[in-house]
Amino acid sequence: MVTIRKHRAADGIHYEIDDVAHYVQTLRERGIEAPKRGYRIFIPYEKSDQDIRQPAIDFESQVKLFFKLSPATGIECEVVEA
Amino acid sequence: MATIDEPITVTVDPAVDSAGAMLRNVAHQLLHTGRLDDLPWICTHDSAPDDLLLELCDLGLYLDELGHRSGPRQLLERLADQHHYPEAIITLASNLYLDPNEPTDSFAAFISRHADSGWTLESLARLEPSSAAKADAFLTAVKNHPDAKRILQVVESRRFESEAETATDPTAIERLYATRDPRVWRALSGNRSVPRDVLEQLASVTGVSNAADIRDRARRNIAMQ
Repeated sequence: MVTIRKHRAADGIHYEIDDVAHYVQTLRERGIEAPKRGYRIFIPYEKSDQDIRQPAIDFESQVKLFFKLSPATGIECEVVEA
Repeated sequence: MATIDEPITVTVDPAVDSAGAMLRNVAHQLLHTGRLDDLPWICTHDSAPDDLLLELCDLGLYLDELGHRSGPRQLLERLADQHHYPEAIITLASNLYLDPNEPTDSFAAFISRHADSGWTLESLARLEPSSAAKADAFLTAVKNHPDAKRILQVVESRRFESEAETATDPTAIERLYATRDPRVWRALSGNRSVPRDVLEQLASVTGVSNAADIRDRARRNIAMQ
């Protein structure tokens, strides 16, 4: 299970991989190229206020896709609010 | 993973930004800051947008990673025509050769542009084209290649192999067996019309490529007779 942590900070909402080493290992075990750097998805509050309540797309699915965690990989993944 | 580095932040608008837009954002940050070592992660990403892949291709970056993608087609065309990238040439040539919906003219023009690629010609020689016209265009391209003789032998072997899979005439079977071509023998070993004495010889064959497979198939065929 790979966990993406959703964290509400003073300036906006952040999404980050919770255990990067486990995430990288999980991707590599499946032959998937893993990132060499850490990434943080950031939604400033001015965006989140107006858009997060009714996003036009399933935003958290897009976050999973960004981290190469689509259902097709077979990797279990959850977004957990910190 | 560079754990000592601060994570790269991707600022998004959740109403409109897809994974592809986030990847475009990341790629441009990496390019602008010269941190190119993470571009392979993006080049191999299923959600990477086509325009970004084309941009990276035009920059000549990580062509190996881009060249192992199955598409988009425009990327493969640029890799083939601008960078002469072998895997892209083979992938496109094979698609054009095998797909009945691809016009012969497109295949002929493409293979004519890449007729110096012996690897591509040899790969195509092992395939059954979607039309006789494409087979002719292929043979025209092969004719002027320095390895034409060897490539044409591969074509002939493939034709014999195809014939051996379904041959029923004992004279034809005998002729095909006499080729001593392991691919032809393998095809004969699974053909229910092959006489028992030929199958018995195939069931004890050694010293050729795929000998174990040929023996297994022949033995199974004998057992079913």
